[in-house]
Amino acid sequence: MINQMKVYIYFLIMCMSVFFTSVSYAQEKEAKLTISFTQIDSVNVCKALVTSDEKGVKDVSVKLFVHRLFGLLPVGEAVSTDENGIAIFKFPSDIPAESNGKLSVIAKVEDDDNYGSLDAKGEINWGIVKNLSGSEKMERSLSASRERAPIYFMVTSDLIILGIWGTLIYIVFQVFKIKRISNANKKNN
Amino acid sequence: MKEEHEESNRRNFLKLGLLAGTATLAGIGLKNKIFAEGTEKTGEKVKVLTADGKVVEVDSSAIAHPSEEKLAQFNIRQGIPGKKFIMVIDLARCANARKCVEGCQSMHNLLPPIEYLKVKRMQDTEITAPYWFPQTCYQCDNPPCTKVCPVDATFKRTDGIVAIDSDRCIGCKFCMAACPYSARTFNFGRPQSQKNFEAHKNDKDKCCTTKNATEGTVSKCDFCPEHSANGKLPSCVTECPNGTIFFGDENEDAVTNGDETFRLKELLRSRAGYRQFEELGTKPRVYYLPPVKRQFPFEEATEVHNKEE
Amino acid sequence: MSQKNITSDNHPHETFTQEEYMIMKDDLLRPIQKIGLAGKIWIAFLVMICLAGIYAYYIQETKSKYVTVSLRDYTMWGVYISNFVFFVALSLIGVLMSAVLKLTHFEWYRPLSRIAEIIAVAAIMLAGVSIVAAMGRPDRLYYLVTHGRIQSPIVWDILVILTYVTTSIVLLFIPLIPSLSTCRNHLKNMPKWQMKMYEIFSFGWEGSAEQWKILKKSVRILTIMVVPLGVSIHTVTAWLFATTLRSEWDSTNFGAYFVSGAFLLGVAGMVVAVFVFRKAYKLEKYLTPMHFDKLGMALVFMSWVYIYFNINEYLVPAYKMDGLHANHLLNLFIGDEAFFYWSVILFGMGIPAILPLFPAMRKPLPLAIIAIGVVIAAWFKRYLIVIPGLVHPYLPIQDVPDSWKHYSPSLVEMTIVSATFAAMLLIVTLFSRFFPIISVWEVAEGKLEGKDEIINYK
Repeated sequence: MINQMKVYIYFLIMCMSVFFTSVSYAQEKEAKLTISFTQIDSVNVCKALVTSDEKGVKDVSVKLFVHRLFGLLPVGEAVSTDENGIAIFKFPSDIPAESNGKLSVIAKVEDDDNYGSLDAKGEINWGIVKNLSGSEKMERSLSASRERAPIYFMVTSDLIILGIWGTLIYIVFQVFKIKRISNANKKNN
Repeated sequence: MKEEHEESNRRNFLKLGLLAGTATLAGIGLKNKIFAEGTEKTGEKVKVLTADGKVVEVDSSAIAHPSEEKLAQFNIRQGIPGKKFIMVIDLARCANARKCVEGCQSMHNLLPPIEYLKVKRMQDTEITAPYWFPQTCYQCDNPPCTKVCPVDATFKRTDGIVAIDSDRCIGCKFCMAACPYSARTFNFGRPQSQKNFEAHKNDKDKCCTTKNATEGTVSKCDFCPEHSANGKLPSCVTECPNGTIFFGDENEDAVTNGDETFRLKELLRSRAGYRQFEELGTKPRVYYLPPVKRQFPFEEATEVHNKEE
Repeated sequence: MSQKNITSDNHPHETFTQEEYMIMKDDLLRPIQKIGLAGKIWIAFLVMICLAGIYAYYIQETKSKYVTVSLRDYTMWGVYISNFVFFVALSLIGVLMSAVLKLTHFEWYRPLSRIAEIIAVAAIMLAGVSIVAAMGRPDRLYYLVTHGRIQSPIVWDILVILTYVTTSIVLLFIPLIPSLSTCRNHLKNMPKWQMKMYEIFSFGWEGSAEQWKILKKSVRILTIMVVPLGVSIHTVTAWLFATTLRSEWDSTNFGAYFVSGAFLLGVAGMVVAVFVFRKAYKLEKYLTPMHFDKLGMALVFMSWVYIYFNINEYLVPAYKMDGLHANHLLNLFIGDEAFFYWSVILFGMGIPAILPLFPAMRKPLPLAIIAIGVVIAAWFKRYLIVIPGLVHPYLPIQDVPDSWKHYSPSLVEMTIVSATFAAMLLIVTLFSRFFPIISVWEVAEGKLEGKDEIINYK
């Protein structure tokens, strides 16, 4: 009897192990997500393709993001894949590009019941490239550092300072002239 | 005979159990490995100074914790190239949790009552509703403070941040007089605060560009540039339980509070963003979203803060 | 010794008669020659206060400023700054009493000009001391030179102050040269170093025609130059406030308002100084009731000008009572500072505008009392300009300890402020003990040119 119990217990343990491992596996049937860029009627379009075993998978919710400095910017709403496993996103044309001139686009499937979480990344140069070199250069202003004071400011203040101190120095020299006169008079006497 | 049999059965049972458990764990681990995201390169290049004095550009994911680098490598006058930081504060979400204040205090080793980030109770008129108003330094684009500094100790960087060089400041406090938002604070050498600085001066992962610890100098919120350079959000942004503060790069037209990311211009347009005291012409880099459609009703503060001298 | 003084148009004149000259010389050299007990006690008293101030500064710099000084984040500027403004205002006494009167040919300035100049020089030096006491990092003072930003009003202020102090010292010193030669010639039993000092600084003055020409031309140029310079110095100091966005300082009126206040303070300061010198050095023959009479009238005039600027500064915004100004104005008119404010208005402007209209009030003693009131009220006026507005910033002060909400100066601060006053008085006193406080040749020149009303009533 006890032996039978043991057999049952072994069987139960085996089943549970298989069950648990398979559950963790079973949540992921193998699926792949790829991303591609194309144009339809001169509109920028991003296509996300979900395939499993080389076949397109239907009704998988895909979200599209653009990579930004501190996080992922969602682009549009989530789109479900059609019969061919393709989700089509209209891509906006006014997103600023990153510093390398391109946009880093990420498609994500988040916690799908069958396929779990997938993501794919792609780069495309559909971003607006801003010429930043101009803005990096700081202009002359009252708020700027000492080397970048407005020119009229520096010129005016220098002129005033030179004028007044020049007069002062001239007068001090005149005072020394008094001494020279007295020395000359002493010599004469 | 029976005992031996039972003994071996027990041993077998244990072996089997162990095997099953390991198999389960291995299976889960394997699955995670196959489908996990690795530490990918962020693609951001950051300039760093190597140990032998050469300037090289590396991917920002390679940078270790900020305070592990030598302070000198963060040239305070150099803006982070290509960035223009901007902040949006959603007044509809602020509930005076003050987690942002706590995060900022801890990040800069500040003790109350000295605060870089203040949360004020504002009420514009007698019959309009009060609201909680987190206020940082606005890193203005037409800063009244940098205009009046006599020694160029405070200055506007290319990345939009108005920074302070604590080694240059002579403590005249003219910038504090000039700031209409009272955003700046002076280190008068408050004894408890100075002890706190000493105790925490070797902490890792703290913002070190604004060295409030230097007595006799001015300091203020600095948009945590070391974090921002490495793609990490300032602590006020991440600490808020309601996601009130959004932070981002204006050049990228995106701001995020850690969970949600929005197009900056769309957010400001749809939520009627505004700037505080716009008419003063300081051009702040912090926008506010009015407290419309609040996420929760306004609640008065239950405790009094900062009574200790 | 009768000197033939040749004036600029080569007209030989006689100076005073020999007796007149000897009397005048004796009178004016007596304070240098002798010092009584009262004089010594006065100097010792001032030195003590100065030492107390130095000690207080030492405490301030070595102990935590949070403890020694009442300044906090919102009231970041305190009595040091208002004291600085006061001293800059006082330093315009040279502009008014020496330069402006000279240029407008009010001949009664002649005995007063050197007093005015030394007060101006002392005041502007102490203004600099007061502002350095307010700095958080005085060890970095030289950064103002090495890293100074020309766009900053502080840098403008430093430039103008340096220029003004130099000009005032030169303007004090050049007319002193003939007096120094008199000192050298006539003082007896003075320490050797002192006589040597007279010798060196008199620059070999002989009173020859050429030397007089140089002297008079230099003095004339400097006198003309010091007027815009003095006005600039106080205007730029006013701009330290007016270039900020704070509502209490956001006024186009500030430059002229400050300068007119400075002129009022200058006249009042002159009255006090003249009264003291008159009594202490027995100079009643030279600083006569006529001077008090004229100074009293000047006091009335300056008071009314200052009242005019105050009306523009306070009553016009009060009419509008716009949101930005309301707090500050109500605070001054009926709030915490009301007692101070109205006392200042009364003693600083009301009384000097009315009382000296009566001739009896223009006698030395009553006028001196009124003038002391004006000087004290002027100090508090600058306090009221700088500090009360700071507790009403645009964004409300919340969640701070009590010491952050109000400002009242600490003992250390008041000691240092008192020491600046003591130092200024010490400089003036010491100057008057080494150099004649009245410029004889200027008085003589006026007399020679037939301008009797220098000393005597006309």
